[in-house]
Amino acid sequence: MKKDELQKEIIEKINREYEEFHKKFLDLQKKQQKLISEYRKRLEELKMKELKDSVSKDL
Amino acid sequence: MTEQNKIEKLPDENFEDAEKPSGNPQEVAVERAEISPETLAQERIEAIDQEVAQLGQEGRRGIESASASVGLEPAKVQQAQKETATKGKLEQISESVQSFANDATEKIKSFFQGKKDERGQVQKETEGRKEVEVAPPIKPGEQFFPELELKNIRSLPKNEQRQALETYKEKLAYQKEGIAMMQEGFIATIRRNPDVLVPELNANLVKWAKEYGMSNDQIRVAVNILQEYLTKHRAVREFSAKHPNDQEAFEACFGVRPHGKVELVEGPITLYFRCFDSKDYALIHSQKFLPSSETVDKKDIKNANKSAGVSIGTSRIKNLKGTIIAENQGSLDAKLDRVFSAKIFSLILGTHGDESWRGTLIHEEQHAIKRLFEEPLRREEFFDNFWQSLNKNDMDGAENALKNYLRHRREEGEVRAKDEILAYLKEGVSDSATLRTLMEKKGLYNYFKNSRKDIEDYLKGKNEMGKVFFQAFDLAKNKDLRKGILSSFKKMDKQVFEEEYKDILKSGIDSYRTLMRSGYSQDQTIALLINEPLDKWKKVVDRILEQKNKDKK
Repeated sequence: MKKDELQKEIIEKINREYEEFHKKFLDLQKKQQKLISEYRKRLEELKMKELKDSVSKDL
Repeated sequence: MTEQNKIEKLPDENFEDAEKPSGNPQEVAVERAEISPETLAQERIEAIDQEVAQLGQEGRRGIESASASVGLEPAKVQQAQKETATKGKLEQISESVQSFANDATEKIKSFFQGKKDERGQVQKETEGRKEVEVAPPIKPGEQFFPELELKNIRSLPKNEQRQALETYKEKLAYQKEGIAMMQEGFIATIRRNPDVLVPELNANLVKWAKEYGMSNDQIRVAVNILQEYLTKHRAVREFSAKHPNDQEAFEACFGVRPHGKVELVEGPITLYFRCFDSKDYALIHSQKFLPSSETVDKKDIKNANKSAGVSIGTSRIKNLKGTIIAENQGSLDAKLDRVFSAKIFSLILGTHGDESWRGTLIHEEQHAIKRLFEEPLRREEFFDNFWQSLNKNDMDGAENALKNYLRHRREEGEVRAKDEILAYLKEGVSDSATLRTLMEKKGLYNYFKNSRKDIEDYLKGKNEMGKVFFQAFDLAKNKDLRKGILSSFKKMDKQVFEEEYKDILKSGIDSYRTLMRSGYSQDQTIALLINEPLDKWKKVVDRILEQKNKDKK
């Protein structure tokens, strides 16, 4: 195999490896965003509860 | 198509797509005519490292921002964290991505195992394939002292000088490339693990020093840079740990409570303040937080609003000098500027639209990194020559001395312009826009305004030194000499601060592009150029490419 072909082959392998990693990264990123948004939702629920409690106390 | 053309030719409608998360790394891959597997592998490994760091930072900031935004008491925040088990799950994600990253990096490295020579060239994939053998110009263990070698060449007989100079150039290019790669390696290590310990960095330094024949001076400089990094990193870490609340951190850093919302993003050696109120940003921009400073006025705010971000070299806290960067979220002009650059930035790196501030971060972080590799100014003070020439009635000599002095004053601007060029081009701003911005006479980057005024005041006898000069040559009476001096000054001002300066900027931008087109990654290009004076970039690039072409043959 010539040097050029060899280099091309390695370049393809590197790109493939990176693409596979990047896909996994994107999956994890989505999972992470979902977790944070669930956490934020829970915080907002607690805040709402806190507000409701304070309003009912005032009443 | 070059990366530069690709950016410039993009129609506006594509910006919408750029705001979405990038699903395919090919979309952001830069097309190049030629790229070596070695360079590509380095780029990909670095991209993997960056993605790992990005995910970790997004997770931490996501939790912090959600916790702070709702305004619950800490006990309730903890309750929510416990119920959702967010922190534990994020840690699992972080471990997973690190594990995937390690696997991918190892695999990429394995494509080269046993197939490289000292110059990193691919030799063979399997047995029986043709080997390419290139001996490095500097043998392992040999030390190459550029200044000493050059001195030795000058003392050689003329007929031997040419060959010796060729060898010198080869070794110099090889060593410069090695030092740039070492620097890039350090930055990658630091990005991967900001808490990296001194022995690990030192071990790498010894390895690189041996391979690229670094002289003792070069090693000393590198050690100082590492030391500087560690000092700054520790200071940043300690400060962040001491001030977990962003508003309090602002007050601790700048002595006053912020007027509006402030967010603090901690980097390896940077504290990045995102200011949502123009007054807070203007305080940092004007550096009027320093003791005995005046208060921020309307002019400061107007000035500050011309920029989207700033990197400052001062601090009220000693060890934080050079670590502070700030983003202007408060001004519409700055916002438009930032959104535009961030869109281009996201096109290149594939970051998310809701992370548009990263464009400013990367621009300003570049300044902070630059400060680590501060260069000494090269030329001597020529002012004495000016006096001596005038004493001898040698107007040509005086004009020449003035020209040299103006060039000397220009150097500071060149250093700052170099920062701006690297930062702008890294962000994806076009060559012409970069040049235009840096040449604007009334713009932010008019570095010579003060120099012009100082020298003019001096020549007109308006300042202390000028009065001495004015009296020494009796310029109040000697009108012809006075006119002659001022006319020479105007002529040289135009030549040095406008014509020559423009040529230096253009040549610098062209050199950057030439390296990128030759297959060097963006970070490699920056690493190769960042330690070199802007007016030497062309020479440096010519040498590197000359050597590269020789290796190819």
